[in-house]
Amino acid sequence: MDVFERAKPRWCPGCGDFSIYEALKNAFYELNLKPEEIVIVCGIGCATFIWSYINTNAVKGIHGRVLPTATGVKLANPRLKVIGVSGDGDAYSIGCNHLVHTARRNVEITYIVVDNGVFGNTRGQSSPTTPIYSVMKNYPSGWPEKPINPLLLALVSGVTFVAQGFIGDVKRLKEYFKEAINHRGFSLINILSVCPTFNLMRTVRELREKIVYVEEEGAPLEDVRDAVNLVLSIQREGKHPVGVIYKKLEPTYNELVGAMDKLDPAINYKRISGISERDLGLKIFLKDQE
Amino acid sequence: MSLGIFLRECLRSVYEVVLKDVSVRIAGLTGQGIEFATEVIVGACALKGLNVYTFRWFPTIVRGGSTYSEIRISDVEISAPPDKIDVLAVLDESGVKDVDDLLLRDSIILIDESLSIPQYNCRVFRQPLKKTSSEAKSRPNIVVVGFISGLLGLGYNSVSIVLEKISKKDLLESNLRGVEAGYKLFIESGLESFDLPSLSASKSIVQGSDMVALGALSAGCKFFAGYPITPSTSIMEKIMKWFPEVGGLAVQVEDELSAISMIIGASYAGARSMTATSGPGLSLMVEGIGFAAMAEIPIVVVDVQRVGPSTGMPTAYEQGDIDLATHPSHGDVPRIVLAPSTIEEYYSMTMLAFELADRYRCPVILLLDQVYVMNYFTLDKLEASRTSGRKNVSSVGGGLLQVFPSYSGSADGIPSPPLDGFLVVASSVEHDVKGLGTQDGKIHVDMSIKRLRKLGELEESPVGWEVLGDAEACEAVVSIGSCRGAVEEALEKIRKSSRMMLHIPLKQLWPLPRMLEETLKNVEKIYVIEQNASGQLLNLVSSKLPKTAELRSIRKFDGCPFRPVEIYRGLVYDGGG
Repeated sequence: MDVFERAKPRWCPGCGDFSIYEALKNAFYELNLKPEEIVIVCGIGCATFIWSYINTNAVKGIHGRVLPTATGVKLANPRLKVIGVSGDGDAYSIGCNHLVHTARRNVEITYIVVDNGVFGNTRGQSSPTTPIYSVMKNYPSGWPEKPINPLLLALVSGVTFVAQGFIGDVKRLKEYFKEAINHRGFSLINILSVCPTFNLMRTVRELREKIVYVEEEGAPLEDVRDAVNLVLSIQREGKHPVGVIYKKLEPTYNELVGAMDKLDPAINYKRISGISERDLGLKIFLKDQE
Repeated sequence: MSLGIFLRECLRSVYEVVLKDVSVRIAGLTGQGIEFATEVIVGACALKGLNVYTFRWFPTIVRGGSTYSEIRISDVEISAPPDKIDVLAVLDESGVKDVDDLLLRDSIILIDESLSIPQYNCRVFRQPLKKTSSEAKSRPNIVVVGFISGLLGLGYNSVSIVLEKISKKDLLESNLRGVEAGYKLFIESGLESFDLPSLSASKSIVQGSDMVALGALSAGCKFFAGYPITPSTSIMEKIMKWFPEVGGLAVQVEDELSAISMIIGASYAGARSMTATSGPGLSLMVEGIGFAAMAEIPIVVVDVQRVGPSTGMPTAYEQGDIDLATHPSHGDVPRIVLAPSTIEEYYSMTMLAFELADRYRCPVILLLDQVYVMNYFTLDKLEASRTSGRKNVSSVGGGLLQVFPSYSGSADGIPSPPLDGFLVVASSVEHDVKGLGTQDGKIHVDMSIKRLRKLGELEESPVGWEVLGDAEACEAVVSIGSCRGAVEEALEKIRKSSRMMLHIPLKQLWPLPRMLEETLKNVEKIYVIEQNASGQLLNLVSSKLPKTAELRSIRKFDGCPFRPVEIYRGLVYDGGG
């Protein structure tokens, strides 16, 4: 029996999410992780259905709040491996603020963002990564907004592990996941994906033609300026950098605040009374409940 | 003579004969050290074992906005603002407002000789406060403290003890000089001292924020996330100061959406968790509250109410979040809303909130009042029942790796990962007993009923239920939160005229106690007392009030707490908006 299989995955035929499902499951196997050691925190969107299909602990949360929810899990119990899964809407639209701030905190979360450039779950509206001028269901005469650049946003926000994956290369994707899960700090993997149902402007074939593997360019880099330059130079040629772009060890939030263990639920009444008497001159009398 | 003045004179004669009840107002600008002056006077009173109730009016402007602080001092317990001002100290004329009804003929106005204020029918003492303070190389607020402590009879000793405790080191000398100079001014003024007595044991000075933070600590709360917002910030600051000593972790985050999500994540992972906010923050948190209710993750949300709607008057007092707190989020959301009515209950009900959240696995909202959270009060001690803290299901024996049936209601405790042999799934989408997602209408019916049924127990046996006064009375008052003190003081006087009334300080707002109807079934007239414009408490409880009773609403919404005389007037004039 496949220990990580909860249910047969159901997405549209040709959906990029199948690749992510395969790659993530296999990354768990190859890292010898046990399902009970992992918590997958999901937001809203097609990709986030992964919590129903991969058998681990899971929090299926609300739209845009994957990162703060995952942060709560990680801070209360640092021994858990915490994986966040979002789509481009969840991560870069409604939840974009949290991305910047989670990056500043460097909480040890592996954040997987499935970027297909469309709101698929609501059936085909433009997303923050939809290219400008795209003809979309909600903008028949062309989408007038520039797209977010997830890689640059992550780099300048201080994410300590920045990678881009591609659903057409599951083997490499799995390796990025493994590396990200082992990274001591906050990691973001933006995954170039497709929506064969609602975003016909982006195909696997077209993406594949534009891929540049950054490992051939000397990545992962440790200097953020070099990483920004690498991303920009590849993107200026209309191509997509794929691979682990940037990786740096910095103190994690748990390390900085000294929260390295599960928060102990025990109550030390003597100490609490001591605080009250010291700071307020107030005695606390506690009786046992009947 | 108007009825208001008549009543005041009556109250005054009562006060003077029966007890020592002296009130001081210090008026001026923010940045003139009015809060510090308040702290010193309150501290000196507490040392003498006197009871204190304080109230502060202040603007959002950090420096230069008009502000005042009221200190009511008594030798018996008090929990309401004063009906009169005996001493009005003026550091800036713009701080003098809304005093017409409060100044008596004997009241003393202490004002710097350089300032001018409208004429009041009371005793005005022009003093060289500023000149004296610069001669003493001190500050006018400290000179005022010296003058007032002489006037009240607090004693130089008590004041200097307090100053030594709370002054910044480099300011202590100048503060002591200022107090001495102020005291000398008082002696020279020839005024008679109020001669407040010294009672046996000294008291502690607390703010409601201390009580909430201590309550969280005592309940075993180990995780806090919050975003600064007036008037709840002080709760966050105190928790951040104390948590490291008890193995807790407190985080200031980017916004309220993050705060509520983070405490849900932490609670899922096994820690009793809390956030504290105010109206605008609560508005942002409602989606998360619905999530916690759906996923049955216990959380405690503290809401310190301020004047709304929208940004409103951030530093002023109102009870306008009753609607929002009792009806947060979309869908059929099981929730518990508690509104403590005394400063002691700010401690005990905070503890209780965590117990209820864990027991019923739903969000608990603590609806608090700005006046209690931000002002200073005296207390002898705190009493509460011990709690056991979060009971996590950590081991249920081996077995095949499967998802724990968290939603079957069978677990004695809350499952949190990693769980021996099991996985834990929490979900915002409708789910089966294991938490796995479903679109099955029948399961939704079962789960909805299951979630809502949880609160039946609290409906039948509410927490904090109290009926004050004469249970046989044919008139009743239902009040909320900090209105309690002023209501009780007004009722004390009403009862003297042989008018019998019972008083329910309603503390469990949701689910509404069934006892409300039962207790009031023979009552002919019910006054609902609250501090908001639309009568939110009245609307909330009216479904549970007997249809035969006449309903009256007494409301106030000018940002200041009810004074007892205002409620007395309302009851005598028979309600009215």
